Amino acid sequence: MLWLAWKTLLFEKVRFFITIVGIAFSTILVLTQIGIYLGMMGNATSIIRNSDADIWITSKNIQNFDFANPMPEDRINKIRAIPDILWADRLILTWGFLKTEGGGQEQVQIIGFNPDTGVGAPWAMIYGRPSDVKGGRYMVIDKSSEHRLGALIPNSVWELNKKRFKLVGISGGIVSFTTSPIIFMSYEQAQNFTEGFLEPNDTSFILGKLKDKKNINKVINELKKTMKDNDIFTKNGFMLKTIKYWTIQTGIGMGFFLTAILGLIIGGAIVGQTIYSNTMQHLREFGTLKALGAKNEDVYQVILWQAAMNATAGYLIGSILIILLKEGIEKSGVPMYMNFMIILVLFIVILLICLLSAYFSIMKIKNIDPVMVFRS
Amino acid sequence: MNNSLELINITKRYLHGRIEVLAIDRVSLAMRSGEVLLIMGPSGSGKTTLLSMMGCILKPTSGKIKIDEQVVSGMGEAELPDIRKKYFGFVFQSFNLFPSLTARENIELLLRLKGFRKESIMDESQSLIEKVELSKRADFLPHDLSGGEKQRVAIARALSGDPMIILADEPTANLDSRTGKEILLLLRKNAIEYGKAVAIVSHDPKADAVADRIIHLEDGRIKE
Ligand SMILES: Nc1ncnc2c1ncn2[C@@H]1O[C@H](COP(=O)(O)OP(=O)(O)OP(=O)(O)O)[C@@H](O)[C@H]1O
Ligand SMILES: [Mg+2]
Repeated sequence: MLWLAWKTLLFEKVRFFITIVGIAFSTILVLTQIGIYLGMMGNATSIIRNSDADIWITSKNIQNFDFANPMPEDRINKIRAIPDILWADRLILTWGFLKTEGGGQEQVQIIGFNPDTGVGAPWAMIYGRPSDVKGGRYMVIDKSSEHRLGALIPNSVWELNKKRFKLVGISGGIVSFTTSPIIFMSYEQAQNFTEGFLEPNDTSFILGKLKDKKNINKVINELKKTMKDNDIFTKNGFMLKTIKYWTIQTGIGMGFFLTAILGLIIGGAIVGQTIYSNTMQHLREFGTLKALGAKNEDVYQVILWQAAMNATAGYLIGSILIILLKEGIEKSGVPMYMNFMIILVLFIVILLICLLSAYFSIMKIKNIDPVMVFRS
Repeated sequence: MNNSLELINITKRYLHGRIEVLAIDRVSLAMRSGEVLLIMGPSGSGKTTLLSMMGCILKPTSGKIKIDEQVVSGMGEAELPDIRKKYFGFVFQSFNLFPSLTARENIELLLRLKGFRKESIMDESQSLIEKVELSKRADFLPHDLSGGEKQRVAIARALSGDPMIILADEPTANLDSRTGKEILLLLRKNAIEYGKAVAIVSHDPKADAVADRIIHLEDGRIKE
């Protein structure tokens, strides 16, 4: 029956082509939505994810990574006092204005990390080393900011909040959710130059690493008791909090979700409609099959195979195009995350939708009376 | 000699809205292997209805149908397709070939349906094509075949899997009279040579020539 399905599909090449294009379109729509959503969420949590810490201590009622409130940095001692803690370190997140070549300015996100330990340091360097920011007004800027800031020339000097910083390193692919350029500098510098926002002796986060990860719940419960003015997260917990904020509270995620669902519905409708009109056109053949001794299930197989072939061919084209387009999309500044698992899972989803969309055709076939073969 | 197929006191009533049509009225008949039975009668006399019941495609309102001494009239939709597949070959007035399949593939489709193994399908379809003298057109699509050639494909398809019984409803109605005669002779040749029971429904007076036995239907009854 697979064979008959294939022959019939190929017999009507134009219809097959249109169906495939439709499914490819819907695949592209859904995959870009998923990819961009995951890309944005990946960016929103990239600093958390790439830190080596198990525990994140933040200001009370924090909503997401980007909206941290300052807190006294000496609270780190409470964490260091816990025997299960291997190390603890501080990380600053703040904002500033960077003057660009033409005299304009861009708002930038500033990450202040400890260059001696490298906790919270940029993890993908194109030029220089993270520790190069140590000991002065030195900074690392991400390559992706170039189209907003102008060419990033090593050792060039930039004006950040009216102070001169030297560009000692360039990272690659570290992008914030808000798409503001990310600048890394030493903890001390970050703490000192944003007057009014961070007081001296303030930090944004305290990060901790456990000696043994098994004790994480115990340590978190202990910290929740002793640090009532802070929120305590596991690494994953803080990423999840951040993702939830952007997805649900802001509705940004919902927008992607709805478009993705719409794409799936379009795909399903296209296949359902072509399969159905195909079925209607071939009713006589299906009646003949039944008269000649095919069971209903045999005939359903033809329809289901056709749905599966349409889905597979369309999906294959759509996903190949996405893989080819991905780099271009990212280059334009839109983050996009894609992996084999996503492509596989969405294939199964689209396949199921296409098979379901054959339902009406199957009902139609079920009711064909094979006596029709005698009528001309 | 055993009867291949036997109808005993078969009646078919159609319900057309609230009007009841008595299409077949207490008909009994038997088909024997190696014999061509011709069913004739005016339009609307119930020939197609009778043939569909003989082929287990339509269920009689009452009466008994036996195939190879096995009562099939009580069987349901779950079993009947297998009965049709095992015992029957069908030839239709409007050919009912699959337009996307070549002549050969149309035959192969039925061999596949009948569970032939891949290796034997090619040999089997080739020998069927030769039986109906269609070797030169074997790889043509139905669209590119003449009416007579299409009907040859249909006959080859009907012969595939070597069924006991061949049923043909007006197989020559869409053909010119010379081609029609060739087709009837082809059907007859196979009935005799391979010991099949063949029933042909026809208006065509020339069909008598190939018949061993003729029955006339009128208003759903056999006219003596
Ligand atoms: N599905 C149906 N519903 C109601 N009445 C039907 C149906 N099929 C056939 N009939 C009626 O049953 C009678 C016999 O029809 P049938 O098609 O068997 O005749 P036929 O001898 O094959 O005619 P023809 O030579 O025109 O093909 C006719 O009166 C027809 O109108
Ligand atoms: Mg008829």
